[in-house]
Formats: sequence, C-alpha cells, structure tokens
Amino acid sequence: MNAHVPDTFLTLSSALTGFTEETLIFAQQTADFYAVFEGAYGADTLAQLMQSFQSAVGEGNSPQQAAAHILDETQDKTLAEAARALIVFWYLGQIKSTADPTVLHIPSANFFKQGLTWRAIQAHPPAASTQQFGYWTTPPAALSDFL
Amino acid sequence: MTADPDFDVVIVGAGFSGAIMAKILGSAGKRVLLLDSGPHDTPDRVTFQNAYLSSDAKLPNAPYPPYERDPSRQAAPRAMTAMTLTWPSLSDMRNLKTVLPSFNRQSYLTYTDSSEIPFLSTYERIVGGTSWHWLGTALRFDASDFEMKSRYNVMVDWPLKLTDLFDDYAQAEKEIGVSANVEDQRAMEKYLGVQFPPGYEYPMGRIPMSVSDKVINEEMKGLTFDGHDLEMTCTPQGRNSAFRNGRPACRGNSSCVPICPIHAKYDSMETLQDAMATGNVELVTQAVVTDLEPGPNGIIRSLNYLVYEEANGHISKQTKSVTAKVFVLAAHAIETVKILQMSNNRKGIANKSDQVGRNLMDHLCYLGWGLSNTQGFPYRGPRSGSGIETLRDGPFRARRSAWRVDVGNVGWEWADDDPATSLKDFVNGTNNSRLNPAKEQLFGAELVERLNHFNTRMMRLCYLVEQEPMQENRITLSDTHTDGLGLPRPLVNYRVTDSELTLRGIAAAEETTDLIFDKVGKNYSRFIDGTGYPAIKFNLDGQDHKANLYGAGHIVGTYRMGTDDTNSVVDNNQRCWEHRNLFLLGSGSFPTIATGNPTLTLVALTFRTSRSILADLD
Repeated sequence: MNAHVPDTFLTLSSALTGFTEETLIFAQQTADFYAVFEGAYGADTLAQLMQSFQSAVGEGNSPQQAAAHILDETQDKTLAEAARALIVFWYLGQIKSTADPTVLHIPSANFFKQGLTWRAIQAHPPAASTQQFGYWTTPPAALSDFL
Repeated sequence: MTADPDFDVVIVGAGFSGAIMAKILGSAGKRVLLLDSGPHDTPDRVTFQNAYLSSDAKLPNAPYPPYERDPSRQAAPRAMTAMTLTWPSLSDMRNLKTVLPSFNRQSYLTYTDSSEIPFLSTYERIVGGTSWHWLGTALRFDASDFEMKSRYNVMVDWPLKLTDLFDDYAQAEKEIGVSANVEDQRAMEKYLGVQFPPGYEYPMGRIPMSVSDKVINEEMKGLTFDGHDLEMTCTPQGRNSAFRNGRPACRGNSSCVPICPIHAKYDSMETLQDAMATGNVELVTQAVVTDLEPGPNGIIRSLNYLVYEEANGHISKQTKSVTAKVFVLAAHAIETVKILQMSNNRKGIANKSDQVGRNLMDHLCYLGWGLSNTQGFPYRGPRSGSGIETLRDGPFRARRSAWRVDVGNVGWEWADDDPATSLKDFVNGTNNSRLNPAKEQLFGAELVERLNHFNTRMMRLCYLVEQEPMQENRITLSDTHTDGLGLPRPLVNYRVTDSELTLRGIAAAEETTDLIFDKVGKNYSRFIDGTGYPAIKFNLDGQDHKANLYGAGHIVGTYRMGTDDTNSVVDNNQRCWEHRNLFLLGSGSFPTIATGNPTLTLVALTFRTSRSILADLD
C-alpha cells in the first residue's frame, strides 16, 4: 500500500504531527491517508506542500523549522491551511468531503481507527481496543511508547 | 378467550422484554409469535461497528438503520438524537412556534408549542431493540424508589415493594449476566437500605475500576453533600467479566453506547437465539402493528399489522391479522402507547384512567465536567464503570429529586466532543474547548504534549436526575404528520420547569459539581446557549439558573401501573385493567423513574409477568 507514497510525505507528516515516520507508515498501511488527502486537496497542493518542505530542509532547516515555515500563514495561507488539514486528518481521520467541502467526514472506519489522537492521549480508539479484560486498572505505557 | 387462536401468545417487540418473554414462554411449550417493526440483525455486528467508526457524529443511533433522516419516508422511523440538533437555543425559544412546523416535518417525534425541550432520549426499532445501544448499567432500585408517597409524601407509590422483586431481580441478573461483587453493593446499605436477600451472589465478579475512577474517588474523599459521603461504587454491569454463555469478557472498548464490538455486553440477540431454539417461537420482522381489536368484556381478539418491504426508496406493505389467547406489547414506552391509541379507530383502548400516554419521563442528565489535577487516562475501560450511589436516597427526597452520578470513562466526549474539539483548537488556533485561551497554533511535539496534558485529565459526571411524573408530559397521535406507512407519528408535550422537585434536583447537581471539582481540579462545566443544546431556565430561592439537559435513554411512564383502573393502565403484573388478556411490558409501566437505570427492573418485571401469563394459559 505504501509503494506510491513519497518519503517526503512521511517526513513532512512526521514533523507536522510529532509522531515517528514508522508509526505513520504503519497507519498508512491500513488507511491510505496519502491518496485520500491528495483526492481532497489536489495533487498540485500536495506537491507544493512537499516541495516547500523539501526546499526548506535543503536550505539547512530542521524538519520542525521546515514545518513551521509551511504553517506560517504570512508565507502562503492556502498552503498553511492545507498543512493544518493534514494534521487534523492524521489525528482524527476527518477530512473535507469532496461532495461537500464545508464539512469534515471520516472516509472509512480504518481512518478513525488509525487516528493519532488516541495514541497521543495514551488510549485507543473507541470500539477498537486491542487489549484484554482489566487493562484499565493500571496506567498506560509511557507516552513515548505511543509515538 | 378466542376459540382456536393462531397462537398462544403474540408478543410485539423483540427487545429486552419481548425476547426474554419469548424464551420463557417458548421453553414452557407455548406457541409464540414475535413481531418486530425493524429488520433482523441486518446487516450484522461488524457492519454496525464500521458504521459507528466512520460516522462523523458518534451518537447512540449512529450504527443502526434506518440511516436516512426523513421519517415520512421510513417504514419504522424512531426518535434520534440527530433530530434534536435543530432545537432552538434557550434565548431563541420565543421563536419556537415559528420553527416548529419545519422541526416537526424532520423529526419522528413531533412537538406541541407548549413544550420546553424535546424529549431527549432515543431508541432503536430493529430486532434486539435498544439492547443494542444500552450502556449496560444494571442497578437494582432501592426500597424508597417504590414508596415515594409513603416515605416522603411526593410522587406516587408503586403497587409493589422491592422485596416483591428480589427473586425476579436475581433471574434478570442471571439472564443478562451481570458482573458485580455483592459486598460492594451491600456497602451502600447505610444509604440505600437492603437491596439483596441474605446469601445472594451475582453471576460474575465485578468489573474493576479504571485509573480515572480511582483518581476521582481518591481525590473526592472527605466530601459530603446533603449529609452523605461522596464516594464511588463499582457499577453492576450487564457485560461479562469472564467468559460466559459463549461471550467473551469485556476488553474495554469504551464504546458500550452505541455498540459493543465483541458482544461482551449483553444484548437481546443471545436470548433471541435461545427463544428460537425452543422451536415454539416464530419471528416475523418488518412487521408494524396498527391496532388491537377488543371483543366482549374487553378481551383482545386479534391484532392487525403491516408487513413491509423497502427497496429503492419505495415501501410496499401487506395487511395481516393474527389471533391469540394473550397479547403482549413490549414495544417501548412510545411505540406501545401509539398502538393503544391507534386501536378502536384511533379512539384508543385501555384508557379508562386517562393515563395512557401521560407521565412521560426520562432521567434528565445534567453534565458536569472538568480537569483533575492527577492524570486519570480516560478512554480506557468500559464507557462507565463506577458511579456515586450514596445520594440515591435520603430525607432530602421530600424536597428535591434524587440522582445517581454516572462517572464517565470517556473524558469530555459527551460534554464537548473531545478529544476532537481540543485537537482542532490546538491545530487551528480556536478555543471552542476553552483549553486554548491564547489561541495558539501548535504542531509536532508541542501539539502531542498539549493534547495529552489536557485529555488525560478530563473527567465527566452525569447526574441522572429523577424526573417527577407530570400528567401533561404526554404522548398523543399527531394529526398532521405520518411515517412512511401512513401511520401517525407521536405528538409530544414535554416540560421540565413545572416540577419544583425536579428543578431542585438539577440545582443540587450543579452545586455538587462545584464541590467536587473545587477539590479534584478545575470545573469547566458551562451553560451553552446554542441551537441543538436544549435548555431550561428557572429561579429558585431568588437565584437564576440555566441548564442544558441531555437524555439518559430511559423512556418511562406512559402506561403506569397502579392499584386500580382509575389511577393506572396496568396492575402490578403489567396486565391491563380493562383488557385482561393484554399485557404491557417495559419501563412504560413504571409509576416513577426511580434512581437506577431502568433496564434491570423492566427485565425483572418481565419475569414476573411471564409467570402470570403461564398461569393464565395453564
């Protein structure tokens, strides 16, 4: 499923979300965040996002600095908004619908299940626990284990 | 009784009560026809789970059909939370008359313009009924719940006492499979009185407290309200704590409402299989009852129903009729009333007391939410596993409604759709959660940390306030709106502020929330004056109050039981006073809504009524 996903999409997504590329690759294997985002925001916008990130990194910026550059509305408002939509998509599985761009929707169950929010709060998506009876009586693993 | 009837018993509704009664009667060799207005487990549990996972608004009805919203085109529409999303805000309520025509067109439950809020609870019309989306809370009522008039001179007494139901409660706990330790419950005796006979044990051990429950319980220590300690108890739950009856133990999916993806939570599908296995139960689905036909002496002779098919937006229907010795309506407190009211050429039956459709009640939910100082890690474990039960009874019930507090395990999900709301705030620089007052826009590690900091400390209390039964809170048939089969939709008149007892209960919930979060962390509860947030305002002792209210899913009271045919619709066996071969199951028969979630009690009453019916048939 990941053959068509450029590395830059993953490094950019990692910088935007705060999660490791490996975690994102695993999520991408189950739910095609890359293709759905491209469908919603267009290949041009996606290419521009990656290019802008790539060139900022090429100029010696860290991935974090490059992400901050993209998110800076004074540089390019449309691009910044697309980048923020990408963060929300990775975290919640919600993205603007092609039928009605004014509302966010969840393309399929797997996007909700792979949403990073649940990892960020050391939990699991509702209706998709992978643990056994009683796990809730003790605190979860450290946050770093979820990233 | 009718000569050579088609069946011994016809049961309408294959939910909690109907399925259990079908199993009992079928096992006793009686020939049973079970009708349900909805489809049978269609498509299936996995499809329902996926419908929930991919739904934008994770509301109680989300997994279940019908998925469309236009009740005039559905054969079996039902009340939906989504239908209340256009109810005017409190400050816009003066415009209710103007918006009602459009609201009523879109909503299965239609409203009078003297209503203050919409009825806030929902149910399912599919085989299995609302057992699909119940939470699983299985508390017994306390002794005072049955004797409010005698003990506190408010509301009415039930024509039953708690001790009359001891055996039936035990049967209900066994059939559902309730997990609890009886000593946890007995520890409440000093507040609630005796609820269990000596030697009683639950079918399975308790479901233990979550980290979040333990944190709040520990930090609340020392607090009292109305003279009672605020402390938490593990809730008896209709979900497995061990492998039992072919179903696994709970894995803490935190989605009990609206769906347990692994069937650890009881639903009627299991009982229904047992019922069908007796070989004596015939199930007909997509069968909507239109009326009952009484004969001489009020004995019901036959029942008429429509069997429908839906394809490509077109509904085809066929009229059918069935005779039986005994008829049982187990179609919920709204649909059962509709059937009674549609009978006798829409002049209604069983209504000598004028109580059919009246006293509609719910536990009015007041939500209190805030942050705890210590991380509790919500979204781990059952959706709710513990509650504050110590204030379910006490002398204060003479002046204010009692409540129990359902302590949530899902952060602020119900209160403000978190973690989604705070995530969007932190990314987009908004402040809808009020956790981002500086309207920062975050990304990367900072975003993770901020989201984690707040969401692992979120706590939500839901006070289930006992709503006083009121004659004018009632269901009648709409003259103007119909469903897809051409049957009238319910017309609801629903108000809260006419009961000072109820309002004082809500005010006590507000006060307790302040008390708890002052100690535990910080109170973030707030009044929301917005469309789709039904609310009331009231004045008590010179103090103005505004409160949003939510539904508990507890639909109660519309065919109350009582001591004679002038004050009630059914007797204490849920038998109609006027139609001796007609029984009305479900929480519609409750004279008061009491302080526990209703399912366990309505199942206990189903066992009691089944004995009456078997005695009649034999």
